[in-house]
Amino acid sequence: MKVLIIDDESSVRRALQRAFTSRGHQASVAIDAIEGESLWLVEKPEMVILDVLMPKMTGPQLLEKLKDFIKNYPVKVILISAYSGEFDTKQSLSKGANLFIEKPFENIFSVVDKAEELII
Amino acid sequence: MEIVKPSKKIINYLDKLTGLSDVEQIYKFIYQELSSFKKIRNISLCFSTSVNNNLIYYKEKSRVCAKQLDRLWSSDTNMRLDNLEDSKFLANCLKRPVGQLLSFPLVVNQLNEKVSSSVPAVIYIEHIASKTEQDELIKELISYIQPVQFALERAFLQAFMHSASIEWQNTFDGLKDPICIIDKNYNSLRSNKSFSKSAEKSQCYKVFAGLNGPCRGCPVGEVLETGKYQMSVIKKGSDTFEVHSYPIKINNDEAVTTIVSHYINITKKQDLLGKMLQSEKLAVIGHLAGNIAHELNNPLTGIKSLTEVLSAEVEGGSQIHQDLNEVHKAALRCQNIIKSLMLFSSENPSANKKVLSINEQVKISLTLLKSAMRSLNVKVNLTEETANVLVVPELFIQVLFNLVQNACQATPESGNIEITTLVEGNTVVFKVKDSGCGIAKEIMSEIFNPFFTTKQKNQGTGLGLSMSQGVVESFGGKIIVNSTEGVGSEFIIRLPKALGEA
Repeated sequence: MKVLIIDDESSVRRALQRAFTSRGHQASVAIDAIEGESLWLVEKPEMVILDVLMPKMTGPQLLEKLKDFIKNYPVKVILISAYSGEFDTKQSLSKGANLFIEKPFENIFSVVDKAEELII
Repeated sequence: MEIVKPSKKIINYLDKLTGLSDVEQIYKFIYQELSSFKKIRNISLCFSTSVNNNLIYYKEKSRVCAKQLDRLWSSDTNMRLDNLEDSKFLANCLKRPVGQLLSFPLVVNQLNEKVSSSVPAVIYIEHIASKTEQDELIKELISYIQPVQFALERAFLQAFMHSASIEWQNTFDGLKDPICIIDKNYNSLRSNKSFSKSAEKSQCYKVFAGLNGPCRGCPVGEVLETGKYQMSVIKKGSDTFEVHSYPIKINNDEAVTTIVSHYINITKKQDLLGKMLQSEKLAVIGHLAGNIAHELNNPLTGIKSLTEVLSAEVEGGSQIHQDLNEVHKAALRCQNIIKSLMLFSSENPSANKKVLSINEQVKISLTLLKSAMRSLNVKVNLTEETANVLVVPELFIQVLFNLVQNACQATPESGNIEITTLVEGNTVVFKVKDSGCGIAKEIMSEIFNPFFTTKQKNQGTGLGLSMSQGVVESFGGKIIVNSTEGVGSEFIIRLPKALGEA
């Protein structure tokens, strides 16, 4: 699958990209929601891993902005965040995300597993 | 009107009379002066200072006596000759017969409104002058007797001022705050008992604080310079005082001659303020710690995750694989510390209690105290039985942390700390025993009081034990302490065993 990873932490971006690539997927990265938006519109990935708290624009804010675009093609969104308390699962799902995973991940490959499950 | 030119004798008399301000002295003086008159046999003076204080001064066997009277003399303000009432009165007072009598009432102005009599003083003169000699005698006496009125007024004022002065001094001494009146060289002119119990007259800084120069922070210097009220704070031993110094000037535009200093002990207030600030600081640090914990999670995720990716790509068992394993374990330790920190610094502990394993809670708390325990011998004995408790995790971890931290702080390097959990029937027990300085018997009953601490000012608020006890009691448990000074202490938490799974 084609994956787009949007996170402002470079080590997290690289880890996710390497994990997805090692499992045979195609993964692009964006350093923030603004770059993420452009890449999303151009590449139309099937899976987007989106960080919640980012400067300038948050993950949920981006989802809101691309609400209609997302509705009009098959795409799944996984929200990831280090701030578990302030952003609960129910909220994330109502904003157009399909899954919410807390950082630090139990295991990076479990994220890939969950993404694969969603696409099937 | 006949103008009588005052004779030299009268002038001398008046001169001397002016110098007297004591009633007894005045009586002695007029007795001395008037008894030299021909035909005068005796002179008595009745004087009233207040409603219940009526005196008579008289001479008996050439000795001056004074006596309290329970009867009052005549209230007639006119001079009288051979008045029967007067004779009876005087005879009664002197316990002897009275012959010819001249009565001279004196209307003395009294400041004391308590004197009801319109005749506060009377001079009685016993004489043997004949009817013809009387007029001459009276004429002469008048110039000597009338001025006594003023002398008595002065005497009364003096007595009044004296008692007023005593009243003032008593009020002054009765004030709880130390007050000292000094001159511009810091010499104590007057002070109350709260300032100094002894009557030692020296510089204020010497008497109050035992110093050889002005106290540090003394406002007097500024008062002298600016001529205005100044306030500042000084320390006397372990107490802190606010010193309010007021200038006194003879004339408004001249230099300050005297200063009144009022000392207010603010030690307790400052102490409390300090503790509140400390508590505030800790709250801020707690908040900061929470933020930092969150911030750390991001890069930590990256480290852990990349290690996992690399681990999957290298040969299992290879050196690189082992190295990556170590990096991963270190990252996990970081994760634990961050979790503990976040739990500990939680600003909004869940109101909900959860069934938790006490051993897990202990482990989390100990994670935060690793550096404190480094130089000590710590033995941890966690029970193998299921020991669950129903508690609010964030709060309970703080309690465990607090007790273990206290133990670490009380114990010297290489000392021993023993942490135990066990189950006794339906009770879960947590014990922390240290080989530290112990708790003195005298303060045992105070250690759970809010703000009570044996630590230095910036090292603790004294709220730890008080809060811990409150928290434990809210979970239906209690904290018990056993201690021997010089040997060590043991703090025990007993909680009801919780049913259900952790």
